[in-house]
Amino acid sequence: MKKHKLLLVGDEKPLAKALMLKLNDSDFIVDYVDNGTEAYNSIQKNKYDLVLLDLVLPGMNGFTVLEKASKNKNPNAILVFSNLSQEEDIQKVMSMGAIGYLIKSDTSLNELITYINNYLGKK
Amino acid sequence: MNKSQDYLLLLLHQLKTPLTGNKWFLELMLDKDYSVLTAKQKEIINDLAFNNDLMMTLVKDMLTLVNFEKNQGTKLHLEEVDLREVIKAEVTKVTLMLKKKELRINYIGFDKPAILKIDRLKIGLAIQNVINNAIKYSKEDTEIRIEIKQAKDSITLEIQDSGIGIPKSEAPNIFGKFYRSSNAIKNETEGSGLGLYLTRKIVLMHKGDIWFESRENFGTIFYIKFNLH
Repeated sequence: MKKHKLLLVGDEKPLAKALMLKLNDSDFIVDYVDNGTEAYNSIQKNKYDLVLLDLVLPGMNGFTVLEKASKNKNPNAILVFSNLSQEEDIQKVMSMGAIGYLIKSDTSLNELITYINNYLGKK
Repeated sequence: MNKSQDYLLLLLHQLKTPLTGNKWFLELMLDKDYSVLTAKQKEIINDLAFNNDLMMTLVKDMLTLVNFEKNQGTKLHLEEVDLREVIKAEVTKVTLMLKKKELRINYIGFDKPAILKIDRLKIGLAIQNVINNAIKYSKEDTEIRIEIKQAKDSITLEIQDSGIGIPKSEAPNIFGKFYRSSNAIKNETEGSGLGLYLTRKIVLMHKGDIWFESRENFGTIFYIKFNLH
């Protein structure tokens, strides 16, 4: 069976390490970038099954990545995965076309895998 | 703008990163696909994870409180909302928590609109704290009653759980900053003691009223009353 391809965007290396371990072991192929500029370039060049996007990033932040992707009608589905938890941030990214918003500190690794599998199962 | 509040907000937000890392690595440690542990080791890792969750709860609650106090200088953003929508939005956020403990929500009085002029975000937060407490202290496979009672001059929200209850002697302190009742601590549930403090503050800002009735080991009912005039 074909493996699903994900893009993981986040500059917190220890968190990225745990995520990569779990995602790879859950049968996903994962590209990883640690800044917004590379994230935007990656989604312009590639079609992923899902993008996991942090918001606080060096250089171009996640809000800007999302905004540009939306403006240019980028076909990649973007799930925001961040530790920002203010209601205003959630509403902002949902209005910019994110398919969902998960708060890292509220989400276990298993819950993340379940969420991604459920999303991909629906496609 | 208060500089020390901003530094505190920055620090609290930064703390979430290593705490999240701990949470995930501890989860991997407890996963048999990543490590094989003795029963004693598992117990120790579980205790580590519990303490990490405690720290996380404290950081998150402090963030909420500092954000709230920082923004309190601005007026309430009042708008006409249907209280039912605010409640349902908060319940949606805790769907996973409800599922984990097999808790059911019984909505009563939701058959007609309950229109209020309130700050939707702040009241949402106030209700979220009460619902979170109801879930946290509820026994598994029980019901949480959420009822809206409408009178000529007021709308009262009641949130009832079948949980551990609050000892009578501690009732006067329950809305205090950082206060946690002795049976909450005894039951080892996480909590920072900030949630109800903030809820009461928000309700009073709306010139409303908040009180509760409780019986140890039977449960608690929280009442939030909004005056219509």
